[in-house]
Amino acid sequence: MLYFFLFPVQLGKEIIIKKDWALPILPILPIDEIEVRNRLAQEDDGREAFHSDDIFGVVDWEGNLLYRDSVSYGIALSDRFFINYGALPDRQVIQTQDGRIHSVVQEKGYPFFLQNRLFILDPNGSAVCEYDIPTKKLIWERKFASIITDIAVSSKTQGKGITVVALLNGTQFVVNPQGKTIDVLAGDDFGIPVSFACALSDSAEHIAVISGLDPQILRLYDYDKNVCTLIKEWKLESSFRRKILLQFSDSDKYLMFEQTNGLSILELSTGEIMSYDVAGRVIDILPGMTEQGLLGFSFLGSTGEVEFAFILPGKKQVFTLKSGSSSFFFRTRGKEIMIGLDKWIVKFNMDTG
Amino acid sequence: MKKTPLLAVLLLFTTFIFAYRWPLDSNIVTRLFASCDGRTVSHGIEIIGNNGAVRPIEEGELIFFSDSLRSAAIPSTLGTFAVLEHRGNLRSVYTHLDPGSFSPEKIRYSSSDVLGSAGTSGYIPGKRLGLLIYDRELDQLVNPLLILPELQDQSVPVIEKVLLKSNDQKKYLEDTTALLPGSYQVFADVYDTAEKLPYLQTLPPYRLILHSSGRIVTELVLSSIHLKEGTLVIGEEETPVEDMYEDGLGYALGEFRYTGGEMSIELTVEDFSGNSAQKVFSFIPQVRKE
Repeated sequence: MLYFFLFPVQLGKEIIIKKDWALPILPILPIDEIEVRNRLAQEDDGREAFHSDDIFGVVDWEGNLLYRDSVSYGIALSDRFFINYGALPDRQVIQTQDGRIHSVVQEKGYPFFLQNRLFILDPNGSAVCEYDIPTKKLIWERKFASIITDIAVSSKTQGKGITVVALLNGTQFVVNPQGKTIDVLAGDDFGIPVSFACALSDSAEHIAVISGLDPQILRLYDYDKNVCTLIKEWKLESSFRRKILLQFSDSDKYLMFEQTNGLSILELSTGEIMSYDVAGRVIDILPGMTEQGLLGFSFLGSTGEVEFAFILPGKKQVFTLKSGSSSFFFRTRGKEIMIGLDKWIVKFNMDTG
Repeated sequence: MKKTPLLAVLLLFTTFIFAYRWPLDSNIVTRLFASCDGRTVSHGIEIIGNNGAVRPIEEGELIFFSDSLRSAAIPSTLGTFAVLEHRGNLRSVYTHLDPGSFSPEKIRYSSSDVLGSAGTSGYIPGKRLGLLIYDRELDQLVNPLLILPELQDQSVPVIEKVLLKSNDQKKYLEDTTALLPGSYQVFADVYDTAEKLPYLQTLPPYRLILHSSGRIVTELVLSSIHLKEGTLVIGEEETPVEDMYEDGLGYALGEFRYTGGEMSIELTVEDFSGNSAQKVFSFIPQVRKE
């Protein structure tokens, strides 16, 4: 980890990353609450909520720690709120990023934010509901007779977008903003029907699903005017028996998904799939591209160490950074990269060499 | 075609052909299928055992697991869990496992293999194992007690209170109750206990039958849960799960129409071990006040 702090790292021939700042997130330094509230009031999109092991908080891109606390049992983070919940929550206490209580929602289960929308998964793991944060009102709720394995929402349709719910029984429900079923996707899986992942593109024009065992199949659907149309399907070499990471990139350009030996990228315009091998299990995929057009993901190496990887779609090279750490947090913004390593957050700048 | 008769035949067949076992060495059921807790109705059972070693109910193939990896965007209320696919299109789900006890490397399990240990992961009040059974053919959750070896229990279900509700008026029934003619919603506050339970705890019954004048008014059997036109329904009557139970009132047992004169209703409550309780409630006309 020290290596990170001291030296610039060259990513191939073209890109060099240099450390900008490193911030300890252990409770060593007191946080100036007044200063923090001023910053939170001023900035709206220049901060990131982070979660690293049993600590969570908010940091801005200038290197100021705006909030920090310990995770009770689980933590749900959005751009403006957090819910720090225990193992058996029978209500959800929504707090603003300076720790003040914003509102309380009377609903059992575990909360999570997707694209800043608040969802709560019920104790059976087979029902999900969405709440409107300002009014604390239930927007919709869907109950299933099967365990929910994945949920996807689109980022550019906040507050009114569709939701895709993938189920253990191999089906995927496409739900409108009122919670009504628009469509049920269920491919003719030859083997064992199970849904492993679903994803929705930024514009909500594409839906991707990975389902089935022996073989595992990736399906791409077009979504338009409440109709889902299967565009193409691919038999995959993988046979994962757990949730698979599946993520559209910003601007609906690529679909990235975890494969046995690393990451695969489907270029939506051509239908071509490129594979990028890494020695470990992919654990996070970033939707955003850097200014240089790099896509980022992280993976857990064989030694239990998290590594960060960058790829230029279309080129074979994978640029990797070893973290020396088992915990992680990973964000990019333009030329900037923010990485959480154990009890530190480090920001890097990318330069073209 | 109703699903439950088919379910009963299928389960009878599969239970006869395939021998299932309890997943823990000793089996004390602390929560039964379709237990109501506020708006949540349980989709499986919860068990505690002497040692926490969890074994599959039958040989099967691991088809899904959740190991609560920290980057997961969607939390798991079921904690660490594993799903096995068995013959006969049945799936068993083992929830709230101790995260370190389960190894996802193993794919095929015999019924003597250890799958993991009962734990406290997810939404569970203490160390116990959650077990769900899913019938893939019928696309429904099945009461695990329908396929597991019989639970030995002599405790008889308790009929605590029965009440009639009409236009927000509630009337608790005595052996004989004076009643005005009209339609009434029947609610029964009933529960079961089990001998082995380590602390005072009530369990739901398995079957409730309400008779009136020799005819079945309602039969509620907590045998399965499936999705029907977007709504979760329970058992052979396909009663909407949300309408099955009302906090403070009990199980909703349909409508009883009192036409005057001497009438009676009879409530029978059975648990899964075959113990039953019965109670007859008689009605006489209520004299209207001038």
